[in-house]
Amino acid sequence: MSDLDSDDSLLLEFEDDDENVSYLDTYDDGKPTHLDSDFAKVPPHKIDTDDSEFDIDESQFSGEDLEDDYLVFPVKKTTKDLLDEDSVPSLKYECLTTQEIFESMISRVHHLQPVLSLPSQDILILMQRYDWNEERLLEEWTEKMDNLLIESGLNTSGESNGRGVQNGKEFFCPICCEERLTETFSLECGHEYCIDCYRHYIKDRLNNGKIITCMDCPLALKNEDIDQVMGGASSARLMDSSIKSFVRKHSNSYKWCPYTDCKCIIHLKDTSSLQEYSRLHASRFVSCNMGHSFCFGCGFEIHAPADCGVTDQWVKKARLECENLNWVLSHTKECPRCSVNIEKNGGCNHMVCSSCKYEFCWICGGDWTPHGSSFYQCVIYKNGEKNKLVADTPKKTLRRYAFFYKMFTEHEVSAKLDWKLGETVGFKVKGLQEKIGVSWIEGQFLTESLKTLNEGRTALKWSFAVAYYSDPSHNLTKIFIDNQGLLSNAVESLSELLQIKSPEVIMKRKTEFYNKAGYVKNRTKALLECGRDLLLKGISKARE
Amino acid sequence: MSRAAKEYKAIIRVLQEGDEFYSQFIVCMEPKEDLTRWEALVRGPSGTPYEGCEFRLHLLLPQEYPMSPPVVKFEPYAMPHANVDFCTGEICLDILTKQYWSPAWDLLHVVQAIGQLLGDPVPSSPLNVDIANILKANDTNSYYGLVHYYIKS
Repeated sequence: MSDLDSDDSLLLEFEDDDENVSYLDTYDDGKPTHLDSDFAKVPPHKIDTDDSEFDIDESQFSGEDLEDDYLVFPVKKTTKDLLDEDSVPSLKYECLTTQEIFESMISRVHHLQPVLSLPSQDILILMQRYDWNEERLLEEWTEKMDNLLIESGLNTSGESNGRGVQNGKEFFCPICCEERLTETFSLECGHEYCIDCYRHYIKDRLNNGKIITCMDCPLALKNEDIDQVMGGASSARLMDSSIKSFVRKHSNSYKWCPYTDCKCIIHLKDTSSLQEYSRLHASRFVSCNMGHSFCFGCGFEIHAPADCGVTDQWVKKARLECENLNWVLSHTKECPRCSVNIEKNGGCNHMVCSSCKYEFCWICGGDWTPHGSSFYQCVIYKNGEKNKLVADTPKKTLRRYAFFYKMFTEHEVSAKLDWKLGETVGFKVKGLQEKIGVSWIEGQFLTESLKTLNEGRTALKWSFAVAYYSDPSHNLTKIFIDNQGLLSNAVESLSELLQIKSPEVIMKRKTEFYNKAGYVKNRTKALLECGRDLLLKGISKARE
Repeated sequence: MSRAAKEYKAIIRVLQEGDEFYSQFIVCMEPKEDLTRWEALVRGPSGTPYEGCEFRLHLLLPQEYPMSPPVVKFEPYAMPHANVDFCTGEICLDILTKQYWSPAWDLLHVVQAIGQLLGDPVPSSPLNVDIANILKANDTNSYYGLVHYYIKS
């Protein structure tokens, strides 16, 4: 993968080295944002570094609208931040486009050319066959040489007689069984068919991401052949699907941005930290060059404090009511490796996932390999059934769920309203500039406040998923719920503040913006850490 | 449709001439109603428990044929075979999937391939688990016994 790493301008590296950077700031908009901007220089409350945690400088408050929950408990660095700095490794990734991946594929082909001394089109075929694994290709090449070429459907004779499209002539095509004046196509093997049949055949296979062969023998069609038959740059579609299958097969380190029509691919450069992340119930949030943020682990939106397991269970549960999902659950299973839903519409229990090519058993969902030798007794499944826990009484669980789900959706709806609010903020900043001559940079506190509000909302929303799966009797759960309440109040009052329309009032209450946004920030951070604590200690666990 | 008509002619010719190669596998083969539905009788290959028996196959040509493979099933509850679902007659054979099918193949190839599958069951991807287990254990006597039991009942 060395070629992919070479372009430094693409790198978006995130390092958590700044003490002031809170957990959220590392993934908010694709650029490293540090809190040493204007916004953060005015701390909401003076945080004392001495031992008294509850020491608040009251001069920061105007006095009249001082409420109880304005009391911020400054999070002590020695305890909480330790978790951030030492335990969760920083995430290094880059955002690529399909074009960049294609270019790196081509450069790898050129790299191999002096070694293999074959035409680059032939190397492309070989690389596709070996899933872009140079080492394996070279190993097999030194072992088999010409045999490898024959196996891969490449012509070894060196002649290219009869290859290509032949001019129009009276021709009987054995595929469509029509005799007419038509162009034909064949490879060196001489299996000649009319151009229409070939077009139809190629079109069906362009999206498979696999090498296309002659209809009657294993000889491979190269990109130039495909373009010749189909006209234009159809081979680009094959390369596109080849890139897609490349990304699917390397799903550990490559992920598509899940946003609609976004063609970005996130490449995680260091997969060794992944285990550490899942151990700590921290999620790998990334954002692409288009500014779409998502979780690298599950492809979902930013879902802190919930981890991927909780998110997955929660989302599945939320959709359970839906008829469609009921059908999916009863007719399909998830590929145990890539979680694509698979419908079994016939055939045997030896399944091959069409997306990641994982071979597994339909009955138990386990790897197929052990089944191959131990006949067809699916022992794994039987054991699994015994281990299934007895469910709570359905009615009770449902009522509890309904409450949490309602809270979750309420915050989702509010988040959408905030989004609308966000659209007006741009105008407000402009208004500030025009009416009272505030500089653009000075007006940014509004945008910053809105961002903080959104982050707070998202955290609040997902915290209900964590709370649902938490043991309600545990003390920490109670603390977590208290934290939710505090953040909820903070978010609402900030949201209210952002509704103010008059530029004069906004400027007058600027400090209030700082205070409230800073408070939301602190509360968000506290909630996120409390949520992770719940998951770490196993008090909150994703379950059916 | 000229493809199906062409195949019809070829199949009639092959069967009337008593082509030695294909007659090892095929007893008879004819269209039902129109040229998109076919029925064939497959001969049990010699040296297998199926020897001396005939099995009915249903072939259905989809609209896209020959770009898509034909849909082929055995008569339900009649075919005891490791790669055939006994209740539905479904067949697990790679060339019948869209992924492996080539338009250059025709119905005669398909029936021939199924005939060969009778002699060469693949117990590693079973649809009939009982027979597959016996095959994996290399228990020829039980294999013959079980197949004969199924066929007779």
